Amino acid sequence: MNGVELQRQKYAGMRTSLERLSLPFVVAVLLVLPAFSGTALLLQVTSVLIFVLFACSLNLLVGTAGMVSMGHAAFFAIGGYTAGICARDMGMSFPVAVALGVLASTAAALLVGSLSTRLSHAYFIMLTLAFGQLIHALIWKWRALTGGDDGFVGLQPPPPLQSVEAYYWFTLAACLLCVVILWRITVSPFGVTLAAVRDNPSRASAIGINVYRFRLAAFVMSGAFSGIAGILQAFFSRGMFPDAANFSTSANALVAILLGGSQYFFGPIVGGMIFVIARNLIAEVTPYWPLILGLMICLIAVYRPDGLLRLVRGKAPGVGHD
Amino acid sequence: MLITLQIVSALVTAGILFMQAAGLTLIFGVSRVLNLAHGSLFMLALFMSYAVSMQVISGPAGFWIALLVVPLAMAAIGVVVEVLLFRRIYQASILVQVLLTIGIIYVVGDLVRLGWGLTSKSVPTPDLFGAPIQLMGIFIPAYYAFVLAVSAAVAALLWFIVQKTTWGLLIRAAAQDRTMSSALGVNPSLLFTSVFGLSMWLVGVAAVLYAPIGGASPGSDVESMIEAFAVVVIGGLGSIWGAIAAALMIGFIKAFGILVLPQYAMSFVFVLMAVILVIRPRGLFGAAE
Repeated sequence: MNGVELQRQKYAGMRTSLERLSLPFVVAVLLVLPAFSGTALLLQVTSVLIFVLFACSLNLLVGTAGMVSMGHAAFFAIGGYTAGICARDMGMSFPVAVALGVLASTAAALLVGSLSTRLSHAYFIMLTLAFGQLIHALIWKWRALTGGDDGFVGLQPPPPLQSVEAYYWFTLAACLLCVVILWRITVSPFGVTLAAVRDNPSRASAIGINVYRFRLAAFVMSGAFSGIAGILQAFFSRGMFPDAANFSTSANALVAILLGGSQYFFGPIVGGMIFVIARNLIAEVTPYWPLILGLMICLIAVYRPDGLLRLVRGKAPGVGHD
Repeated sequence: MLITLQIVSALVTAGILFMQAAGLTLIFGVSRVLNLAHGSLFMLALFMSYAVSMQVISGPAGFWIALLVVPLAMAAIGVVVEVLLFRRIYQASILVQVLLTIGIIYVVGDLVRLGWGLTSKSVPTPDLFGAPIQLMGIFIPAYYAFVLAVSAAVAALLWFIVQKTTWGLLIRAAAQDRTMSSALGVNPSLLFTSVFGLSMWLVGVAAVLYAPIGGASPGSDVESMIEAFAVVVIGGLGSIWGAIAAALMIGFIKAFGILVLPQYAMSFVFVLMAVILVIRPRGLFGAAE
């Protein structure tokens, strides 16, 4: 259990002096922001918060459990669409709609996870991607329910949350709460066991850990938090478009995780902010921002993977590293 | 009548799918890297095939020159991409490997947008195959027969390479045990580069053959990636024979599924994938790890 203990210390030690100072600083900035900033910035920050929450929920799987899911956009979208449909079309109250959205994401994650977490990492990537795209296609084609490619529009948050500032406070509170819960999960015995499974599944299995069950649990939790991010997104943008479920949404979150470092709990938070800012800056200069972004991703992956992911030891069983 | 036509179209789909998936499975077999950009490179080859046969040489010879040039150009791209990028990430974590291929998806997708815009392009069937041919009492497009013949020839060629040549022996050895094969003196760099080139050549052939059937469209990258994944999941990752069997199954499911539920033909493939995963998790021909 020495390795597990070390792992736990590593996570406890993630609060380096820089992070210890920067976290309260960031929270303080977020708390005073509405007093100083205009509506446009507040909208931007709200959308960054939602993206960061999505990246953090994905990182429970990618960083802690070492499983690279390419299909989490699907759970993000299912949460948003379900809550949206419940609130707009079924006339349910906001809390009920939110609860059903989370429930739907969780159920979908359980279904996809039970099919995809049993096998090696290569299969896991292919299956999460394939089932994610299946859900994307279903949203696209089920026009009666989702509005298809016209989008699901005309969704309103409940009256107290309709102003930009109120929704900002709501998003900030929800994101902080979720991130704290995710952090607690990461440093809990459950999270430490997940890291042990990631680092050496055969050894974990030999000491009596049910590898499949832990992976599935991580997958479902991560899917549920992705669903919460999706719900926040749906009420924020007053609707949902099928693109939310597209694999590029998952890919963006993975890029954010890589930028910040998957082994730092705050990695996706920092990476998510860098990603959104970099994307917006490049997009202002050239319409061909995916080209620039893609080249940057390739260069980072090839030449600086250690600089950004110094602590990754997430070796993949069955995917070579022998 | 309809049945025969659907069988022929199923075989055509299977032939093209096989060539795509064989490349994916070959690369994974030797290097253990899952190339998520496989579909993007297929899309690039589709547009290159459009460019060669419609923009550069707009005559009846265009298709034939494309059939020769595009696969070779793709092989060259494959070699360059392997040497510049993939070679450096074989030992990296799986997240880094995935992200490199995501980066390539962005780059290729945007290059296609830059070069050919956002509209789909159609490529006409070569003049030689203008008239349908008669088979078992029904008429089928002559082009389909040609695609079938080429796919079968490519599959036979691949079988010959993998089973009968020294190169193929090294590919099989590396797929079985990379450490052992390099300990015995196999140059892994050369092997990986050549397999990447071969795999991209296959993608090129598949794309040139597919272009007159399905055209070149900007969204085809993800779509063809998912289809290639379905083939390797059902057939078993790393198995070429599994790829043949799975490509045939998917070809038939799509061709006949379209008759039942035209909008959701692809969903049947997903159902098959789920069933296979439950009853034979490593695919039909997948080896235990």
